Amino acid sequence: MARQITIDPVTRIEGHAKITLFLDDDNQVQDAQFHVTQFRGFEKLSQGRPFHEMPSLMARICGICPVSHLMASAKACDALMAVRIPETAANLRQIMNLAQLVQSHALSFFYLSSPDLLLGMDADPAIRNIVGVIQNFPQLGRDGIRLRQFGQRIIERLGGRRIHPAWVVPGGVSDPLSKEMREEILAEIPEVKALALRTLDWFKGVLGQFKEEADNFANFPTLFVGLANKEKTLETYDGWLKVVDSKGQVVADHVDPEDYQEIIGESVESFSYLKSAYYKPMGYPDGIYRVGPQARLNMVEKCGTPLADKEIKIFRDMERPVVQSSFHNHYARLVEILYGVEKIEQLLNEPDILSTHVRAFAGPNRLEGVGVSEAPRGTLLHHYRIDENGLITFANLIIATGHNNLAMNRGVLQVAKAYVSGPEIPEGMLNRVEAVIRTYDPCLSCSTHAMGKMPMRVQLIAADGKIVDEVVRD
Amino acid sequence: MASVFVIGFGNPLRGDDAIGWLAAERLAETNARKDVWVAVRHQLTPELSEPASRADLVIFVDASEGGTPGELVCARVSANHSSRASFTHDLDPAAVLACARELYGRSPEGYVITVAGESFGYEERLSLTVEAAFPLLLDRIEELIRTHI
Repeated sequence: MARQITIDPVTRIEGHAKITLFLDDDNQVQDAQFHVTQFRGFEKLSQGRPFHEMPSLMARICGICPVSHLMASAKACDALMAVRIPETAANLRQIMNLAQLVQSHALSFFYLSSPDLLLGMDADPAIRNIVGVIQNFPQLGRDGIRLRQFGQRIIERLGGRRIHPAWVVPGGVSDPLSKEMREEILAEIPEVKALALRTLDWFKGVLGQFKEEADNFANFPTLFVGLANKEKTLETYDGWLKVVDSKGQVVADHVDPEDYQEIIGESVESFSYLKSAYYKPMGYPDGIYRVGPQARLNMVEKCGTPLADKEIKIFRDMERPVVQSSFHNHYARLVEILYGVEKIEQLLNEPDILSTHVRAFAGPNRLEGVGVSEAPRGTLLHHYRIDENGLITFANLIIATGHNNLAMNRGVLQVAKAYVSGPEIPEGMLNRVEAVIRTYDPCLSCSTHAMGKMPMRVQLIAADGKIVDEVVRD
Repeated sequence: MASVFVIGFGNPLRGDDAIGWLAAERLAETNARKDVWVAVRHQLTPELSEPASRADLVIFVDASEGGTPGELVCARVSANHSSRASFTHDLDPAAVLACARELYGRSPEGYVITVAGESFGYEERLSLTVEAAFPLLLDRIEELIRTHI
């Protein structure tokens, strides 16, 4: 008798989702589905709006990653205006984007995922949370808070506020960087760099304890997609699209973001509001690929900053030619936090960083524009079309979680097969199935980003609808 | 010199839930005292525990559900982790104070001032009842501040 297990909602992710596991007659997991149950509709509701409103509108998609949407949206608007923004403006945008990467990665690692790593996958959910981490590992708690604070303060300083800053605009940024602000940020760099290194050292020391999770958490071959540059270093703001396969071979390179539809297709499944992106030449669903920290580090040998260059070598040497398990997104996030801090320092020391020429002005000069940047969770793509009056007629957004959707579904299936063998729900299964999703740090575009006290329920349901087992987390 | 940290929190897009947010915004606009800091937030997060640990008094300002709309309640709050299990990254006032104690070794005195909301719908304005309570709320915050500095 075929049965199914539902995990609803999935907790400690940004947004609302549930998971269904399907069991065969022998109570073995046969299939898994990751359902994104919220509907946003930003692509539709933006139609008819003036294009220059788009960055501010798109930032409202999320309270966690508004900066990422600002970047991709502003770049798409730059393309509509057909302007090349001043170099200082591009560098300032990069600083804010990197600050977003640091604060978001710190949130993901310390607040959302470290409870599993520090307190154990089988620990009582009532204590397996950020409060439990603070009580039992106060040093790590302080480090996480400080790293997040560092990124948030930069966003607040540059943008005037930490959530939904309006500083990134079509054509550049609205205000230049002051000398005082530059010195304030630079003064914090040595401390946060040391914290990032300390966390990396600790994590490398305990990584061996998670061999089982690394073996089973989305550990399979896929393509990897991300931005690339001519220096062949970690790229988070500019450049072109590149695709690498599971053997580390480049399968597509120098793809202009405007031509993304040549390599990326999108499919819709009836069980989720989240579209599934795939590598078009391989078709759906074979063109499964991953974006994000793990993918970004798999695509380069160097980050482009001294300390992160040493760390990426250690990361990449874990497994050649590419690091396969998505569990290692946690590790990759820590490398990227270090990179982000170092790169911010580099950019603040650029000779023209205090220039007051930070914005190009123009009306709409093209009817179609694409903007791509790397969000903390992966490649973020905004594609707009406008009419002759500059009003939006079409918008397509491909967010990192959409790029990763196929891989997340397959990851859930892999971990469920490893840990679930019905008809009873084994201890610890519930969180491991969730935890594989958390490795991707999916952002389901939740503007309030609060899951709060939502309970979790796993039900084992027989084909006749009868509940044969149930686990409830209050 | 004693210091006071005022945190107003809520969702400014959900009617009366904005009362704490608006009160903190008003205080930030008018406050010139260096020993009074103000934060405006959608929710309470662990990073607030660091500035909280540097204060002698923390005042949390929020809307509440239930009760008589417009009713103002001011209550002491103590550091306590067990008051709420967190599945994410938002905390309640007691947990912010507990994090301050455990992470930074200081647990300031705490008060929560709430105004009972009438409408939490999708709107950027307070109900008339809650708007009428707004001056009283500002007065209560000022009174608490004055008694501590």
